[in-house]
Amino acid sequence: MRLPIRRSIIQQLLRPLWLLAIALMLHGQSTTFQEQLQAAEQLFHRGDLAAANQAFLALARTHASEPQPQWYLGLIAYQQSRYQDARDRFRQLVERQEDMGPGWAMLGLTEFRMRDFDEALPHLELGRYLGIANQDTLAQAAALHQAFLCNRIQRFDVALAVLSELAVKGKKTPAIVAAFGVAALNRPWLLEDVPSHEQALVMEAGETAWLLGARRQQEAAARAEALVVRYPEQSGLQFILGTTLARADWPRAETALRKEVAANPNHYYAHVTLASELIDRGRPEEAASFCEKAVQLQPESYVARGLLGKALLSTGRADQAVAELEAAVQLAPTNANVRYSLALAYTRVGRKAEAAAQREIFTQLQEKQTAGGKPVDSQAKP
Amino acid sequence: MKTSLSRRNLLTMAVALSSPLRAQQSPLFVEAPSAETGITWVHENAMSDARHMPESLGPGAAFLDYDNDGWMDIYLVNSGPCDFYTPSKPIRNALYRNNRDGSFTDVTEAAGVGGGFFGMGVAVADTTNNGLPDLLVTGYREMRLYRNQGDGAFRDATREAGLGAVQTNSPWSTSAVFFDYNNDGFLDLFLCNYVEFNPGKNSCGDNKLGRNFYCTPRVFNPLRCVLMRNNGDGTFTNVTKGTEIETALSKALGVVATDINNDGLLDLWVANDTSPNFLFANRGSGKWEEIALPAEVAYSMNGQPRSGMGVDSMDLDGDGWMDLMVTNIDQEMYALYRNRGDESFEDVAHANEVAQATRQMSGWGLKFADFDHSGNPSLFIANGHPDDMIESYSKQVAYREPLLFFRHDGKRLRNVSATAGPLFRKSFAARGLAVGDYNNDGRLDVLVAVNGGAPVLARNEIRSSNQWLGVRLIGTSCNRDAIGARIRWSAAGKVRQRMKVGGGSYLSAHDPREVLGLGTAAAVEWVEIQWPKPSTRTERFSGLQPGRYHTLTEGAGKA
Repeated sequence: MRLPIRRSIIQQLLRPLWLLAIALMLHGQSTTFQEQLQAAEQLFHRGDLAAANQAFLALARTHASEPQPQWYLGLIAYQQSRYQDARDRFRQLVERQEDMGPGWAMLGLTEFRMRDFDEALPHLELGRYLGIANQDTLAQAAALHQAFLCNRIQRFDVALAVLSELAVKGKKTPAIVAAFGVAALNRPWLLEDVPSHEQALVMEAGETAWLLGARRQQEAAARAEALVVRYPEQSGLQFILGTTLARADWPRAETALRKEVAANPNHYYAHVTLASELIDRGRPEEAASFCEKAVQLQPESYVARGLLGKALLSTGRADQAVAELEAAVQLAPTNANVRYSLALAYTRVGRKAEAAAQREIFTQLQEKQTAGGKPVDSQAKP
Repeated sequence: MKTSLSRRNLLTMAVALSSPLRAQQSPLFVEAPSAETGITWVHENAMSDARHMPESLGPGAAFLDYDNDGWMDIYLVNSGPCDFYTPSKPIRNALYRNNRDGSFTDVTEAAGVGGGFFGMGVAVADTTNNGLPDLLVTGYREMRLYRNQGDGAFRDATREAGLGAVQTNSPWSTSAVFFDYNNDGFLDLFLCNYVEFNPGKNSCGDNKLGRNFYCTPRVFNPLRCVLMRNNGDGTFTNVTKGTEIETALSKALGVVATDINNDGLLDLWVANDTSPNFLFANRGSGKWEEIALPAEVAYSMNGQPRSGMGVDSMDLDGDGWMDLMVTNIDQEMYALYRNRGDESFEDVAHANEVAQATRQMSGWGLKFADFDHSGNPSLFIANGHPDDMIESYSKQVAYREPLLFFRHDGKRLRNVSATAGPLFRKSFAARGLAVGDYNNDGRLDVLVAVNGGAPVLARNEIRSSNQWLGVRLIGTSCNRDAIGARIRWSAAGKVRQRMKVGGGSYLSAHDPREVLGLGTAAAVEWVEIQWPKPSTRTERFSGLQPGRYHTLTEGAGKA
């Protein structure tokens, strides 16, 4: 399945980014440089990429410290599929200006094209975290590619969260739907990896997950019910049904999730979803076994360990909870929620100073989140 | 031939007979109709296409006895002119005098308490210890202190009381509570402030319907709450500066004054909307410590701030420690915190059926009270989602929601809303909630203030063989309203206890009298009052007849 982002669309829609870059960077520069820059931009806008490239190269030589020529040279190289050159330009750019979200995003997209996926993912995440102001198309491309890569490393939770940001804004393309489908089915695939005989299933699952992401639960649940009927033996579909029903009809959602974990005992997300919901519904005793299984499936998962810690804490086993929550904090030191749970656990066992220290870190992390949005941390295992 | 009925037959018959009886169960509360009460006032929420945030949050309501005739009157807060709203016809707050026959007469004009600004809530207290309840009306851009003249009229005392500057610095005040934080015998004032709102700047538009909608409070900057010390001469001094009340940035909607650690100093439990709640522990000498995080009441169990709206405090389990409650928005569930006795709390909402009942609900006003005279507190909650378009994007959550009622079974709360009568099958955009016995039958009634609608006066019709005793406390050396008093009473050898808290619920004020349930006991042996400081008195009152109200004055009991 190949659903690439078309470069011509990116070129067309990245224009406001150039203007933003100019606005941000022109301050204090000579008229001559500005005039030369504008002339080069006009060439770029006209689509005369070869001439624009020459003009920006000349500017880069005479104004080596200026970021704009590097930015444009990177864009031109990307559009001409000269990805190595593009990557070098964007790298230089972000090394010079570390807080340039669009620069990191373009670096990540370029690395994706070069199949350097391990580098691409953190750069896309950083770009999104720093902000891609008013760059709808670049923001969408960065989010989508982040989701592709999260699917690849089985961070389906992050992929679904990122894709849901698009869905809730009404963004819907075949690539978005397909990425949703891969994530919802818990398959560690890039789109090109989707087997042809699975494509229909991926797209149908994707439509369902997209509806859920767009907060159209009822439609999502109806589609999920149909999917379960159409593909009764297919693993992962009861999980989708369970997640679509969780808010509206918990008893049926619970049944579906329990079917999934029974039929597919290695489905990590079905276990953590079921455990999380049961804890939330005041049934931590029942949740504990699903948490334990999730930890067994992904011992390096802070989510599983955090849930197990909460379940233990809620059932009066504070000593054991401390151990699990300490492990969760080790795995995801910047996650505020596990810090909060650990503080509670320390309090229960009388380790007051350590509880206070965890609350202090929790507060700092909360403030950071409130001030700058939630950092995406796909490097910590889910 | 077998003539006797088998045990199985008898059981079948019993079930068959009891089913219709259950179906015909008397309602616990019934709505007193406007034709009966004479209350024709309707709240104008000023809902506009722009969906300005203040439109969605009001109103509050109060039970008060403004004319000291022993019958609860009613005060209702309305919106009004402001920088984003010009009413097309005159609108005002309303004061209804109790006619002592179940009906009320609108006396707003004579009393001079019509408001004239975009009102939010109301607090009631005797701020000068002269035996007359005064009114504080909070609101958007303005607030007003109405001082009771004792002749049926009030006068605007906002500026002379020193609240003019507070008004300027409180661009959006919500709930307020009068309480005596420094135990000098005069009621001080804590004022919740919500968010910085600028109608020219703050709007949220283009929802799924392509329309403006009420913003999430997350997009607004927080404000600071205010503490005003009563100088004892009718004026107040702002004493917020330098305290943790000043440094705590709030989006405060609800407040109750209670004593969480039994140190005789009233603490403050404050609900914040989309930001962590506050628990201001009163450390004496004007020092406050914000301890919500270590007390485990700031966040959800997951470490997430919730959308706190209304609050209350009550010793729910009778262990002598005041418990706390806060209502939140849908998906968050309301929290019910059991006091562990060490300045920390445990959320027991699940164990009391509160969490399960409120997953899809958005709560505002709430109040614990002994509605059934069992001697244990029950709980009444007003609900409604703030977004009037919520049903366009959610099938589970409604804009108008039913009221909720929980009865205490001696061990915990049980959600009995489904069998509480037709009133609980109706839905409202409910906000404020006040508790009071308007017909003096000893059964506490509930006044629910409805956004953009007529208030609901829910008359308590709970039938039981339980007895009750009503007390009106009058302090002489402590604050006259005796807020902070500890009440213990013994009936048939069983001793129960309660604290008279300040405020609670959302934007609303309550009957100042306390109704004490005796259970099935026929008489009460004694009632003991530990008067709040500066009083040092703990007094017993005996020979009190059940089934009526008694005035207990500090100094008149047996030490």
